[in-house]
Amino acid sequence: MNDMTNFIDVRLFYTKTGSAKYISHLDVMRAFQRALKRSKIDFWYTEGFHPHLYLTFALPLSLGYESVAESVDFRLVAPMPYEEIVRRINAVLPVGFKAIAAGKPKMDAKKIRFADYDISFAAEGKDVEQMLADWYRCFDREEVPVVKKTKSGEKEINIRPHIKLSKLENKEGRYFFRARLASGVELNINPDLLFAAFDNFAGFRPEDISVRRTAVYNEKMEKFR
Amino acid sequence: MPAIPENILSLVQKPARYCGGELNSVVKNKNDVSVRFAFCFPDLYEVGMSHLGMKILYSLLNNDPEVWCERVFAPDIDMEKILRERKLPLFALESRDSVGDFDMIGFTLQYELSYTGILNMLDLAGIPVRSEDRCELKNLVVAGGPCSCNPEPIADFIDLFMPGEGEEVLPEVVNLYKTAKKEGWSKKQYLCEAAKIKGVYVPSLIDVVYNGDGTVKEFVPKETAVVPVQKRIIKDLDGVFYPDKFVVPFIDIVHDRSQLELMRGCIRGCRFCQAGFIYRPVRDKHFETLSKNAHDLCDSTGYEELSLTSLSTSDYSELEPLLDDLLEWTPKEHVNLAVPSLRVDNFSESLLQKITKVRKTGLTFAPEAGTQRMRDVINKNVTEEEIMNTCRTAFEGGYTAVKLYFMIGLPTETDDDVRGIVETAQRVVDLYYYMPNKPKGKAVQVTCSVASFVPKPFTPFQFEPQDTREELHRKQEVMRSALHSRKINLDWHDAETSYLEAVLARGDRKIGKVIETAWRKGCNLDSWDEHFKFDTWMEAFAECGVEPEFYANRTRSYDEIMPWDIFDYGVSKNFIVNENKKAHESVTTPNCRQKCSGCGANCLKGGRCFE
Repeated sequence: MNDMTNFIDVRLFYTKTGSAKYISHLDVMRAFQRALKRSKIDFWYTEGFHPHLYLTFALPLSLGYESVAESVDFRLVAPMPYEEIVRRINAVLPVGFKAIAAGKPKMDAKKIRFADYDISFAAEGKDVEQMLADWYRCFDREEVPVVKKTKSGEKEINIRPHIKLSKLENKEGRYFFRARLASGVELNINPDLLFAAFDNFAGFRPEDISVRRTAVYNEKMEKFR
Repeated sequence: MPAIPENILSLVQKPARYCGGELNSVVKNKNDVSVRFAFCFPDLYEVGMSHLGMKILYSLLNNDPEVWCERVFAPDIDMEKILRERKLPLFALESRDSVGDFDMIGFTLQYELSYTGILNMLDLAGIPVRSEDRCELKNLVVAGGPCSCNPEPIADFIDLFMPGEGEEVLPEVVNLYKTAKKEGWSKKQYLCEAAKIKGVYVPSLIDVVYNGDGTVKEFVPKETAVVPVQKRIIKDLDGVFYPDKFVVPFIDIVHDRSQLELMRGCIRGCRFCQAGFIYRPVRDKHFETLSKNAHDLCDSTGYEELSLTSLSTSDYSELEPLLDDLLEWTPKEHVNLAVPSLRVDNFSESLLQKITKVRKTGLTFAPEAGTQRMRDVINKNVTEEEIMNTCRTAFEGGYTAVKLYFMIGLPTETDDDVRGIVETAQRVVDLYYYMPNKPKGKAVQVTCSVASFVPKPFTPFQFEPQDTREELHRKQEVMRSALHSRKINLDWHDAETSYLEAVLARGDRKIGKVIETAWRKGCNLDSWDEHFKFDTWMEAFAECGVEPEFYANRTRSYDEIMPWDIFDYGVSKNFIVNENKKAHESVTTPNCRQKCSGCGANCLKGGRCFE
């Protein structure tokens, strides 16, 4: 059995791209559990009746989204160089997942406040000028109301103070923008809420939406590490 | 270009069913292979991905650099709707290419209620469902698996069947296809050559002639075909291919673990059990081979659970040495052992201790019938005392939940036998409360899962009528009114499903048009309660002028030619008839290890089963 007090915390940063975006958060957890087991690195397991590999993910990613800023924490029983950890885990991860760096955790995941996303979509049947005009009219309002599902039910909130959007650009039929959204345990604005808000306002729901998380920050806008 | 645009995956529930890319899935360059094989499971991903046979054959075929075997599952309703609306074809997971692009399309036949799924999948791929409407060699549709022991109901749709075990015959059939493709054979030419391979059945090369009363008169082989076709078996399980990798799914599937196949066949000879007859003769795998297989699998998958699978795990001759071996490394590698399919009569204390070392959940036993007389009829050689002893051992080991499997509708059954099911469960409950050392403050829970008996081909009960649905419903009421304890949970499958299963299981070629009609009327995924449309099936029978009772509820005489007599499964008809007679006399037959009863299956192996 492992010694309760003797483990080394490691944070692994990874990307989740391509068809891996169709793997739900719960399934990602299971996939990591198994991948780490295959790596034969000496991980720390929880004590108790059903010992399991200790794993925590900083900020769950919705089904269908890509990310280049994911992280997971685990514990080692014996020290190992970080590059070695990255190399060995990359050898066992399923297609679409790639470890990019590992290190000692510097921040508490509870301190996460913002995340950046690259978002693109198609708006077939809608005139470009009209689309751009509606978009800005929607998000330039003082208040952008939207119904958010929470554990205790549905609640209307104003997302305006919690979002920051770049210019919406149209390139070859697709629209692109970047979004900085409140994220973390206190308030989490899912990119999908932007489209829900737009739908409320303009009665139009873009299709073929593609979302990629690019960075995660604390309240001082320091990158999560 | 793959046939499927990526973005449709974001429109369906559980897109990971369709996106591929799972660990250990095999991706090849289609230009580097000479045969593309679509391995189709006619049910949802979660069910199909749990199936061991598919894992074995997938790895086996992909071991050949000239072959690329991909997986295909039945799409769920939402995905099917999108495919049909957008005129997109059914696709294989690895390449996302249309199933219509494949050379060979193989279906595994695990249960009768998946038959409409076969038609639906072919249709979604844009392939004509009837064999006679497919003229080219390409898209050759082949099938194997347990239900191919009576393939007649789907003989109109499948070009070639491989009854028995597939590890040897499937590569032979694929290799012949390579030659045929290279030399530009016609489909007919290929099928005629394939029919020469031992264990290959080509329905279009054998005519079936019927009597006026609808029973089979004779089989007339044409061209190269012979009757009967003898099923294939693997003589040496230690030498046969076993995968060192499983595809590890992302989503939760029914059996999400490493599986170790301990043996094939079963020594018991329970008279209702098709698996107990069609997988004969019994063959064990040595525990050293198994232990190595297990370790390889756990290493390559990262699975946290290893399950020992067989028809009757406690009958595996080297179970204790195997467990000792596995328990050497599984705890320190954080692998849990699961040991299902234990029998109640040889569940020893030392075995229990070994199992409880790693895992403690509910225990499951199958007494199958509620009275001793009934158990003797079905040759389930288990006594009431053994059931109680096993439950006592389990309770003493800290278990408080026991699940018991039973059947109703068995031949010669009376209401006393039916009530006996509930009474047996009640005695298990009483046993718990009379135990001085029962776990404190915990209630016992006895779950009785009661299936309706379905007579199956190649079993001694193949001659028996199934109880009518009305009779099965009445017997369910008998059980309900005999039930007085809240500690007993009674659940049963609906009789309608079992009725259709009975028709399909013992059907002949006349059933083909009923299956097609039912499917055209919307039947699909029939094994799912929420999709099962019994009334539509009955309409299909009526429209085709086929009476389901003829297949389900008729007593068949010993000398009737059965549709499946086209096959030789090793077990002699004489033996089956004798076993049926003994059932009606409530006489049991010893298990294969106690005494060879001369069923005939050992001739497949070229020797005796046990010395």
